[in-house]
Amino acid sequence: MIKYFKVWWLMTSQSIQLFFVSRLGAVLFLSGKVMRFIFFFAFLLLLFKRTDVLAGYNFYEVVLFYFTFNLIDSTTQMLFREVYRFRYYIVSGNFDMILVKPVNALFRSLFGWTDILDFITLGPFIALIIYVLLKIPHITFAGVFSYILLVFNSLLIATSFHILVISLAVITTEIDHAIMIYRDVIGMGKIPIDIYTEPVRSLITFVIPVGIMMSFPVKALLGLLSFSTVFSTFFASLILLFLSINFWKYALRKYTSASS
Amino acid sequence: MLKYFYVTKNSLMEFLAYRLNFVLWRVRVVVSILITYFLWLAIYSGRDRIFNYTQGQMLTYIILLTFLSGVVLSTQTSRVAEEINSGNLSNYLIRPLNYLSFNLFRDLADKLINTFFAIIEMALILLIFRPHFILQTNPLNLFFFILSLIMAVILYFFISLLLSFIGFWSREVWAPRFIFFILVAFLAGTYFPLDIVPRPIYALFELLPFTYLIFFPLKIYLGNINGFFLIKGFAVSFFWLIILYQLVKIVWQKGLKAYTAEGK
Repeated sequence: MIKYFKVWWLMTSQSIQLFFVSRLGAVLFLSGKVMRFIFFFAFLLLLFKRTDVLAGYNFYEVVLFYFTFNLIDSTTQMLFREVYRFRYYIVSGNFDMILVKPVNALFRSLFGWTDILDFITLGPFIALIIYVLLKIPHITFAGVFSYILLVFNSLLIATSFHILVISLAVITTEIDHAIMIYRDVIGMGKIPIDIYTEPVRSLITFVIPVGIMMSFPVKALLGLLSFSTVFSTFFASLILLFLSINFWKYALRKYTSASS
Repeated sequence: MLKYFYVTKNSLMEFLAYRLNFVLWRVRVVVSILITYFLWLAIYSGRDRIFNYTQGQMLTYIILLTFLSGVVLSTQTSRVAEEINSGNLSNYLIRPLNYLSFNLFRDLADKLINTFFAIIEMALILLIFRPHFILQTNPLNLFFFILSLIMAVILYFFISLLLSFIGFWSREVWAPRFIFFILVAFLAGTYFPLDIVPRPIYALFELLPFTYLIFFPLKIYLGNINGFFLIKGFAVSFFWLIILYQLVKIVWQKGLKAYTAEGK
């Protein structure tokens, strides 16, 4: 465990050093991320000029969903930025170099690059979430505890999805669109999933668990989820993780080391 | 002229060479449109009109976004920056072709394939979800819609080309393009029709070229517009076309002087 932490820290410090190499690019990328956040927030503000509630949630509750989405999404991108570069390793055959090293190939493929730009955004997102929490009445300690637990659970689901995507890349060499489809779909969680009508709502809760990832933490915080639902959510996430790791093992058996 | 036809043909074949990539790309387009579609459908539940748009108008706007994004926002000009940075531009400069025309025809392949599939996807969305879709039948509206669409295509081509020309002076070409994508997504009206924002902000938007990429053609298609809106819109579009064309010419010439074929 300590060995893996040291490897991760080494790879992370390298990615931080590279951030300082192209400072202008980093500043521009960061500005882009901030702009994207502000634009959608402006859209929510516009929407609430015409309505008091959206799917039964007031303004502060809806922005809490949006801020939580950003927290989970940014953390995921910060941790798994390497996935976006994974195709290069496969098509160039350089994945061989990862396989022969005495570090788990899945660990290396997922955590090889930590995005410092997303890390920078985490602090403000947490501050915004705390600010909004103070604006919502009747928040309980149990609610906050469930919220934190379910955010970790969302990261577990995100990990599973990233494993599935890189496994697909090993088999097909396709990754760019697959990862962007994942990101587009989880983008549905920027707002409470209750807003969507059936069958979309069931689809994004049970088939593609966007709802579990993005909406459940806030719902638990607001006291809208039962204990049994929270418990079964963890169970479902662990099954998804188990399946994704097995798919990765299957994909490795199909790896042909083309171009190497 | 025949050589440019082959540029388009080869680019089309490139698209079809990576079929899974292609299929997933189209899936992504449909998914992103459906997300916006369901979002607006949900916002309209129990309401007839929001921001001066009926549900039919808004859903038509969202569905037509598939088509317009395919025609206007699809481009291969981002490859220009890569070609400059890798030194591959030299290969084109020594060939008996005009590099800007070459890019125009390479873009044509992108737009053809996008438009073709966007029409199929739009038809599928209409068949499956059966939304209230406004079919514009007024020939005058359709004429101005097509005219604004052509202008939007050229505007986007020039803007995207200018962004790629950054490659002449910097290797940092993706970060400006990333910001550009985000700006276009919001300021061109792919999130929502731009005239729902407060009046002073919309007045500012009207002066920017982005407004005329998506929002302006779609607004014309939907109808309910006056002559002043049309004249003003076309005048600003035309102004930007002239400015951007001149800029492309100047920056290209200056860029060529700065070009060192580094990497080759």
